[in-house]
Amino acid sequence: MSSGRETDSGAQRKPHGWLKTLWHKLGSPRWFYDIGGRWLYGFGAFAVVLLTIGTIWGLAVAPIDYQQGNSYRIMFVHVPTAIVAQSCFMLCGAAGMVLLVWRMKMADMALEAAVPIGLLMSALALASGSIWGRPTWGAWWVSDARTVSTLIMLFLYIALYALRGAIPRAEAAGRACAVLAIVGLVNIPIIKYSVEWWNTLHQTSSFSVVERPAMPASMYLPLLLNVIGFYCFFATVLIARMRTLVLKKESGARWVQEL
Amino acid sequence: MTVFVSSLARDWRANLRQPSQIINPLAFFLLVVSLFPLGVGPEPLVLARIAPGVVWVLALLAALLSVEGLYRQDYDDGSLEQLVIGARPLYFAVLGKATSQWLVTGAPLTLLAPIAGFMLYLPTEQVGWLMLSLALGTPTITLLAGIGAALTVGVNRGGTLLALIILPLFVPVLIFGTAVTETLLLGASREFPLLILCALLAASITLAPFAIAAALKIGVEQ
Amino acid sequence: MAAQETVETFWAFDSFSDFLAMGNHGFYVWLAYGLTFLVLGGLAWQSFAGHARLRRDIAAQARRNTSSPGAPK
Repeated sequence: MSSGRETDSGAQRKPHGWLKTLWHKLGSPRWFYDIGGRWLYGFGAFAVVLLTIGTIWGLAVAPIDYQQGNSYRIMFVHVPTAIVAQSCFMLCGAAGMVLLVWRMKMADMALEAAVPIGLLMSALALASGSIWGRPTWGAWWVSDARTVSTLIMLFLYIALYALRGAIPRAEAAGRACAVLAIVGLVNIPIIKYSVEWWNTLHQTSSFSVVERPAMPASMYLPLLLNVIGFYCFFATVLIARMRTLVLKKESGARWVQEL
Repeated sequence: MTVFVSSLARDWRANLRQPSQIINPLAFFLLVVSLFPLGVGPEPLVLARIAPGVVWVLALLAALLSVEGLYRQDYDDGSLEQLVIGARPLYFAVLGKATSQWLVTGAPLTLLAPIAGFMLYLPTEQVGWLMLSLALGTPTITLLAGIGAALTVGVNRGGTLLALIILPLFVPVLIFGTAVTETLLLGASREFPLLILCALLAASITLAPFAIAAALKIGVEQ
Repeated sequence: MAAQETVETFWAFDSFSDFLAMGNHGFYVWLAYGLTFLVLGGLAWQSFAGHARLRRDIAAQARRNTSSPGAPK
């Protein structure tokens, strides 16, 4: 059942042996539970520090935007959530592939843990984008390319979440989700491209998103800090959820009982 | 190839035995089209403007309605398990099933599109383009819908879940499908969306059966 | 806006009330930030609380399984 519980002795001698060892170790829920418990604090600390500095910098220190006024400060939370939501979808697709090809248990848990996070992140990106849109474009909802493709990503997350809930047997549910995550990953670029094309076709002149030529460092740096901070937050929550899933699925194992 | 033909023939015969399953989605399609003039008013210009979009969205919904039972009966009577275990290249068996599904949903819907077009005052010269776009787009729709149907094969009352899974995947076909008919109104070329529809069809014929086959294997195991 | 030409300071705002007002955009900015960090906090809390609850359940289960009552850990 678990492919990752083989011994590492053979892998050590080959070239890239350490990579193979890491691969096998990643397949071991127990190893992940132990090491994840340590990584958790690292990522968590980074997330708190970076998000605190980045948010205060973005809210109170970064200069006012001459076009949008202070509403542009929403960017410092909007852009990171959107980026993390997208990366999370790629992670889901990759985890799905690993699960189907190598049947690695941890990939299933990564997929299960990542979906609710991605769901909330894309919902947050849409919500903060819509709040940002009201003072900027004068409308709560503008169907432009990015909004629509993020909305579709949110629906795919909801579908992934609902599909897992609907299939009673856990292993089948995980593999079905893996198939859907891969199908979604293949489709997301096509959807994005088609929505962008649709946007140029229906170019109404009521609004236009002016790409600013170059963001000054005083705006770019807090954004960068928050993006990294959101990634760290994502990693923290992902690991925490995966550890919970490890305990849930291995609850009969001896090492869990001995914790 | 024999797998493809035998799977196609078997499903074709099974479909003919239950004509209501074919007729109901088509009736739904025409029924909802006839509701639109009542909903948005009988103004020909407004209806002609929204006609391609209405026809296309309803084509998606009709596909959704008809695909729900695609694998359900085979699953219940155990013949799906035989198919998954027995059919050597499962790819062709799945493709055959999708083809027969298209022949009873997408194809008749394409043939009914002129009626829907006339009900919505679509200019006569546009009707041919609408049919062409449907002829190229509905096979893709059937294949994508098949993925959702295969994933939810063991799920009781999977209807809304099925919609949640496949409707987002339909977006590219919807955009380029409506664009074929709408470009005249918007002043862009027609070849491009048609080519993209062909590309989407080719991609889904090569890739979607693999996803359907993988999903069916999982569904049968549970 | 008129006082922007005064001395260049570290902070982008002259006073705390300016900071809260965000130049008429206060409602939108604070709504977006509040919502984001509320959801983030809720997600983190839910993830960690779920883990802690499960650990407690498993520990209780293990205590019930072992017949000897005085042997924790």
